[in-house]
Amino acid sequence: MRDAVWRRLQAMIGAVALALVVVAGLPAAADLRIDITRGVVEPLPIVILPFPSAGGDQASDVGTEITNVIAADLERSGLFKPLDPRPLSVSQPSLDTLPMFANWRLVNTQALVHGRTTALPDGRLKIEFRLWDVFAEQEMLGRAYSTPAGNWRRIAHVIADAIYKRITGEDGYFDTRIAYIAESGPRSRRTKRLAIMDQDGANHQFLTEGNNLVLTPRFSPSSQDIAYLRYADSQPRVHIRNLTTRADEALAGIAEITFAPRYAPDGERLIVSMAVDGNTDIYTYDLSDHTRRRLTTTSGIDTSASYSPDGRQIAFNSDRGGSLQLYVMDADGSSVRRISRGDGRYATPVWSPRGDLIAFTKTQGGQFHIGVMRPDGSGERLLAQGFRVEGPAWAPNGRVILFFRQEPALNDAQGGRSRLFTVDLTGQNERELVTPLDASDPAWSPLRP
Amino acid sequence: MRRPLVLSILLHLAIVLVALVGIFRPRLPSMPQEVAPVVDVLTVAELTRAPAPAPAEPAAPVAPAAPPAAKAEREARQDDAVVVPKPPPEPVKREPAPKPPTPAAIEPIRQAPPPPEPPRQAAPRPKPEPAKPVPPQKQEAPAPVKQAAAPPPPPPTPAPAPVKTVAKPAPPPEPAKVPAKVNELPAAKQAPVQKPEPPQKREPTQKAATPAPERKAEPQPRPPEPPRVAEKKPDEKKSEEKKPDEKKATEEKKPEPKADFDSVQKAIHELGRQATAEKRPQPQAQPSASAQNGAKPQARKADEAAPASPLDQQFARVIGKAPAAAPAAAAAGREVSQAVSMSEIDAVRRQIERCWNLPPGLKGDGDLKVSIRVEMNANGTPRAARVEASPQMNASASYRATAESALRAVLNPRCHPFNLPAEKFDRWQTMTLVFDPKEMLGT
Repeated sequence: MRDAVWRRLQAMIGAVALALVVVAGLPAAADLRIDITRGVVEPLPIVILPFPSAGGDQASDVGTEITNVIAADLERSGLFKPLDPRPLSVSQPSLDTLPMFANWRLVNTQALVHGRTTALPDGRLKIEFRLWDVFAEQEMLGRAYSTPAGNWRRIAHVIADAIYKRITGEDGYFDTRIAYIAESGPRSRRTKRLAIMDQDGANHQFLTEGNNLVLTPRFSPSSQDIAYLRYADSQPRVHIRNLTTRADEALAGIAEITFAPRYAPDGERLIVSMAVDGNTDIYTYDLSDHTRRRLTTTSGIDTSASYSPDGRQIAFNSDRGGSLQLYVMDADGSSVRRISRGDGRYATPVWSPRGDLIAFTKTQGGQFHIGVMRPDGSGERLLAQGFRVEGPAWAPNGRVILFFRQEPALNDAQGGRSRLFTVDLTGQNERELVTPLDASDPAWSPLRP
Repeated sequence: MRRPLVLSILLHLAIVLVALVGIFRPRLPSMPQEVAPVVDVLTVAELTRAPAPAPAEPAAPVAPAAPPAAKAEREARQDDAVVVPKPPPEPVKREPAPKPPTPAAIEPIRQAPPPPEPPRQAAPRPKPEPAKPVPPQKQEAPAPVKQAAAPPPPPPTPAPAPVKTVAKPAPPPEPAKVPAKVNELPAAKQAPVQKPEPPQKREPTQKAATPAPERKAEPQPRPPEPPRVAEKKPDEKKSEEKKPDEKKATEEKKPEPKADFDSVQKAIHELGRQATAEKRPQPQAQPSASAQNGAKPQARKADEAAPASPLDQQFARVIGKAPAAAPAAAAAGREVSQAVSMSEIDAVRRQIERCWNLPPGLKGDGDLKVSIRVEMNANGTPRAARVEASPQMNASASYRATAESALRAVLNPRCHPFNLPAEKFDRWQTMTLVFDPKEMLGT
């Protein structure tokens, strides 16, 4: 009798224990976890509604132009897909109210920009805009600008930069300028002029007349000075041109041939190649006291030096090993090591503003390539190729590379066109940057102050 | 002896039951009313790299002889950079009784005192030195790039140039320090129109109680006040809802492209409705998918409609004393207790991957792993989603961009509903999606 009761008790206790085990396992099982490690890389669908006017017809026209510039900037980046809002039968929201997110979701709009322009009584223009995340139904950005009416184009670039940064997490590069060498005339008597324009090709201007051959313009970190190579009296010398004062002077205290200039990140020094006693080495040139310091001492030709963003390392190309290759050294000239290891010849290393990559030109198999590699030489990728592609220059955010591509010349007067192109780090988004004349040797300015 | 023992056992069992049901019953963590993405407040200096306020020059118009670009930049230099101190960004406010929009809704720009001017970087002024021609004595090796070797000899130029030339065909662009005054806009107000719900998310029972607005009753663009897309006013919207005939008349006046697009929209609606009907023969109440806060009470109806809780059924089966009225529920509960299979998880993963548009070019130097907590509706659409708190959200722009792209992937209606078995709803009604772009970034 007692054994029977005891067995029943044991059975019930076992049942309760089993129930406890089952129940204890339920909460963990209810929380489903899914790991997502892959996605797609597609342009983000964005609608940029025309900025209506709240103060006159002129402001209304400007509002349309502003939206066109913003849309063009974002579309050219390859990361956005501006949708034409005209066919969309969705009401335009007022700047002061929430958009109808459900309607915009129906047309797969993931980001929405709307704004307003107002002509102020003092003649200036007030430009307001908001950026919305349509799926999250959140305002991501909202700003207002008051500016002279003639400055609307630059404000459009500033707005595009703000949108780009807010969505991608990276700085934009739209409020920038590009200096390059404009070429014209037959190939035997080529006229080359220094020119400057906005990054979208607007506001184009020539800075020199073409009486002297000019090459390799480089912006200072302040973007107000340009160092470039200029042949004066048949001697190549590095000049510095100030965009504010228009002063144009050669480097003081240097009588030797200098070329391949580039600014240090602090803007207080230049790094140049200098031919002394028949040997071309890399020197730094202090812009304040005009002193120079030799960094390389080999018998090879060391040129095209480029500082890392932190100023602690320098990339350059040299033929010291028998063929043109890329090298990296410390800023004082020590710890030189070769980083290019592939076949072919490597030249013109340019350190990314991010510091994570070095762009270069490579020749292999009769073709020119624009590529990137990590500072240790790993991860080499070729982004563009052609009969002649050269002169890589980074956008200030380190996501886009500007270069020029030259076609083969048929004769002295035909063919051989040289044009500017941009390509992003994926190599998939290559765009031509239209210039009035042939173009080469581009340089990209930092974001404008 | 035996009777008291049995009573004692039953009493203890009852206590255990109460303890189990009352204390250990699995509860879903409540979704905090958190808004995942927050507004980024940037300073003017950060936006424009503005070093200082412009010099105090009179804002006179520029001489007409100046080119447009120089004029614009000269004018820009006359502006002061004004940073309006803003409170931390707030999520969008949704007022139950919104006020009609008025132009005065935007606060006037308050001009803060201009920041102190940082020292301007002195432009280098290297003095020219008499050039001593030093012909290169070393033949430099040919290179594919201009900079790789010594510069090429100067080609014949049309005219000999002076040694030092300042003249140029066009005046150079002048530095524009600050393009404009910049202010943060105040938060937008709730639009004075009722937020429409997606057409496939209606429930007949709910419709009877609180009729959702029909799609035809949704506000439509009014005759063009702005040049392209009309703007709606709150009072007009109400009148439109009450007068569908008038709305139809308005629609007939639409230009041809709009009509084309309407047809596309309708087709999309129909497809979505059909898909929903096929996959979910008994849809539950579906508020719109939103990252903010879905209507939780509505979603809880699914729980109420479901059979007895898995805990109760489990326990009933264990002790072998399931109530006679619940055999069907017990059978259903046996299905619910099954875990979501790997193939079902993979199916959802593939769905979300199609919609995860990661901003390319992100810096992969940090941990960008993002966890998103999702509350699901029974029809497979997300009811609410939020990024789980991370200190990087406000510290890293790359992390925030990743998080927001992940949130957009979860909320993208083109990837809904998730292909999950309805009978296992209790298993996936709350899930955590972990987005890790490490593999894509190759880091």
